[in-house]
Amino acid sequence: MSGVVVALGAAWVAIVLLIVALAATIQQVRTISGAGAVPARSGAVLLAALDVVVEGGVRGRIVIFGSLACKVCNELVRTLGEGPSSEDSRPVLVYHDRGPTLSLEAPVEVIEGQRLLFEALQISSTPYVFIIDPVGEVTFQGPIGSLDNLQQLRQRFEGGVAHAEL
Amino acid sequence: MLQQYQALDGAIIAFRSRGAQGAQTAIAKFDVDGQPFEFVSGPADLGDGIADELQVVLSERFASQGGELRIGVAEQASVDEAGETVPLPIMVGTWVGRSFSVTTTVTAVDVPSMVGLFDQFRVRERLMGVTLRPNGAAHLVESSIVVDLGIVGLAHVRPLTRPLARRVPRWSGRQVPGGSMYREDGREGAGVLHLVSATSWVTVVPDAAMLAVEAFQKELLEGVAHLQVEWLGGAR
Repeated sequence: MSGVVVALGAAWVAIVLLIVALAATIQQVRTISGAGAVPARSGAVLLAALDVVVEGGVRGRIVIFGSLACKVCNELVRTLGEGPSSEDSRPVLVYHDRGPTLSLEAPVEVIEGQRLLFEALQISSTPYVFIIDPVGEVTFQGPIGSLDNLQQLRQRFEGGVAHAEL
Repeated sequence: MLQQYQALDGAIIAFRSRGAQGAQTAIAKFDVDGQPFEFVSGPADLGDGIADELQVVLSERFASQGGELRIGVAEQASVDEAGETVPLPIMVGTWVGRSFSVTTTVTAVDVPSMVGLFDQFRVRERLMGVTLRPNGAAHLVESSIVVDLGIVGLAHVRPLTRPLARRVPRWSGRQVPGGSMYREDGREGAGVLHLVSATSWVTVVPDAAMLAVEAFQKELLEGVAHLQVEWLGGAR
């Protein structure tokens, strides 16, 4: 028992020393150019690539690239599943391989097997979100890693895009 | 006791010591688009521990490269050039695999940039640790590991690169099975021992308080004299 305590104590001493070393070498960073996914300039093209067809125009959409390993994505699916949405403004969830099993009535659209699109857009971390405005332009794209931030984005989306329901 | 350790650049370190070895961490400095970044890897909960110490809550979580990328930010007080206390945002990013993690700490950066920073590397969890392979814009500056030698102190192991080899003293140190052993005598590095082999440079930093104990001096010398450390492979 005392051996375990000594080992744990030694491990924490090492961790504290590392933290001191890390704190001493904290780096100033403003921007990291060239980092992250490729910008998708046209939301209409993105929706077309996903074969999301909407009669009478694009309308506002949220497109979320997810994965089954992504805990936040799974929480998101649950949250989105609770809200109402009309046929042509349903959030679109895009998966690399297989997606979650949802009921037919679920107010989200799940598109699976989009490995090529993940590669083309260089998306390696999920959730990764696109917001497309009613004229088909991408007004936001980026990684969003918490439900709180997704909710904030959703509110912005609802405030800025007329008639979009999430 | 022979142990093998994983460096972040892919090298394997064969580490033989007289006594048991404790916690081990790997450290690597990379240059990404002209800016320096330091990563540290260790057990899966190391990044959470660092975040706790810096009072950072890792609230953003992404599925990334077969693991989970956790990111958080906290504002800390810093003193500027004029002596004024100013807020300084500190961001921690940690990629966590099944058994190991790799963490970096930066200031004044946003979440997408931190995700983008990890995207600059191919992160892989190996049998004994994590490796980071630059994808293009990043390149390795320095790779090392730190091994806890218990009562003897901490051993900092670096590969014997050409620039480092030029800094080896011209005089021969004490010859031991693991290479040439040197001892620092200056006030700054008093008690610090160096062991240079064909492939590695090991710096053993003892606990300063222990140096006053006469019996410890012998223990320290014996401990380092029995070390045999070789740095194998990696992106040198």
